[in-house]
Amino acid sequence: MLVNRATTVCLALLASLLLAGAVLPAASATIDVAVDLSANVQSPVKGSNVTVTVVVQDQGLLAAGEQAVGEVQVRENGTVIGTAPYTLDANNRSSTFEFHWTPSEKGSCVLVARANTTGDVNVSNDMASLNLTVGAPKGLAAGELSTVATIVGVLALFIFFFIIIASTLGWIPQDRLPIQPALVLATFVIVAIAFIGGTIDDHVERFGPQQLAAKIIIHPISALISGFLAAGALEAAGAFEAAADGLQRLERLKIRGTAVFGITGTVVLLSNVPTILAMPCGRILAAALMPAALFFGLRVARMYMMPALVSVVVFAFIVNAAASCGPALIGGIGTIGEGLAALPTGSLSDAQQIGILLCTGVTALVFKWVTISVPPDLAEEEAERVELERAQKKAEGVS
Amino acid sequence: MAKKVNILVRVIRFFKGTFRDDAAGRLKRGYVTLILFMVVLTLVIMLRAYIHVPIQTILIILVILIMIIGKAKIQDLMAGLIMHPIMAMTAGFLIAGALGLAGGYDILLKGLSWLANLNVAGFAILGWVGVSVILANIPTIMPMPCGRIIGAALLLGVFLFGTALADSYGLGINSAARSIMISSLVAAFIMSAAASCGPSSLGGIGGIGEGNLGLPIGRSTLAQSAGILIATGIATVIIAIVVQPISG
Repeated sequence: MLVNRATTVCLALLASLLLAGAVLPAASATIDVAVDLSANVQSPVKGSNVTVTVVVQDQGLLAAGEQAVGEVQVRENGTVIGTAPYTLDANNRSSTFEFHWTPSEKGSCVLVARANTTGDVNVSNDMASLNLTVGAPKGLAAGELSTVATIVGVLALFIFFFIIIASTLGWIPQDRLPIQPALVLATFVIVAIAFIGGTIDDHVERFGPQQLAAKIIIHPISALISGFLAAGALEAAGAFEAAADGLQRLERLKIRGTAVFGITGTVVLLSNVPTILAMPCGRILAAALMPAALFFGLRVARMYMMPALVSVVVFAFIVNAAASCGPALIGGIGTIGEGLAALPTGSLSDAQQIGILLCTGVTALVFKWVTISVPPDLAEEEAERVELERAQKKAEGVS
Repeated sequence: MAKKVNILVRVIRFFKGTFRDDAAGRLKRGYVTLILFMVVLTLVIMLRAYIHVPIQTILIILVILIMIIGKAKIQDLMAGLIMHPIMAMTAGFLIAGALGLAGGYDILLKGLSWLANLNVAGFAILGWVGVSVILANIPTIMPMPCGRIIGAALLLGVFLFGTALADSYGLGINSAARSIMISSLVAAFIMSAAASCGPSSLGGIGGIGEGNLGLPIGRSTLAQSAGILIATGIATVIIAIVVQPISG
């Protein structure tokens, strides 16, 4: 009886051992497989080819002869991108898989990789995820444009140059459609073309007022406005009248009976005042000091008895004023270029100022020797001068 | 000593005169504000490395000071504002944004690079230098009533072409010569754009002079354009040889 009981216990023990042995490979604590997920680009664009890499790895618990069998699956927002089976053992503890994925929608998306391993005791590391933001296709690097993108770009450029040329040649009457509203209109036409292009080809970026506004650089505009405020305050305070008065005083300035500047020196200074006092727009000083330019121009013309000199003085002054908005630190055009090229403020100013000083002289010379313009009011004086010159030459020839 | 006292008396009289409300008082206030403006601008230029306040802020403070000294009202200030260049710049920036987003600059760059590489029987027609010269002078060839229109619209294209130009000469991204080359082209283009409102027949500044002298419209255009072409070249040479600015 006792023997039978002992036999039963032994058999039960043997059976439980055998049972445990059969179950062990499936429910053993030695299987722990982890998964890792990565992509070759962090900010993919819609329609591009993205390589997703999944690594399935045993955490070092598999003993010799043991195996971990399973299947890895990658999903994008619930949609299956790919599936692959794997078998890991002590000699081959990891497997790497590459899946190719083409994002079909813009916006944020989540890639999830999940490893389903039979008998995995630790499910917390069976899943890995990757948050990505899919952008609009760019492909705008030179030479890499799609056909539709090229057409849109060419059309945009063509419209811009057409408006510039048509306005210059007078095809677009400026009294009806000035250049500024024409350009604003052109902007909306380009937006429409890009919208149509964007519906045909994803490589063309569709944009609206928001994107346009984001492209506007506020700094030069705010500098320009504050520059105009400064000019307005100077004008209101009578500073430009003081400048004209100062120039007249300068002409009369003498040291020991000798004129320091004289009329010629004062005219040279007057012509270059706009560049010395560079304003955000040449019109400020051109309008404010024009009476002084006319006054000194007439003085010079009468002094040298050459009526054409008034045009020489006035236009030398004007070209100087026109160019002066380039080097102006208070919202000049130069500041846009300096900002764009990340150069220190004012680094392009000196070179421009020297160029303008020479350009003023060249304009005066061209007016003196090439263009020769006598104002109608002084035409009679010029006719008398020419007559006198002829008579003098004749007399010299006779003598 | 007597001379010094005399100078002091004259200075006191001058400043006393600024409080008068007649024409002489206004002229004196004009002198004070003009000198103040020039001194502040000179200081801003000389001490720019130490001034960490934007120029806009300095100018607004200056405006308030000038208005107080010059006894000017807000109405006087607003009457002196010229809206034309502000509108021109805004229009220029709008079209610049549209061109950039529509790929216009890529096409411009592609077209200019093609032009620079255009060869006939093995000889470059324009080459990179020739295309740069034309590009820098475009604002004077097509003068607008305000240089800011073409300046704002095409400056990014000029900058991109400058980088392509530097690449064509094999200048690396960290090369100082590359920065100088781009700066020279940008400066030349700005010079040409800034001056181009002078000879413009679409309401350029030259029109003021022509109107005042009773000359036909466009009479001053060629002389001004000749001067600007020279100035553009001079500005380029000075930037390249003397100033040599390096990007920050």
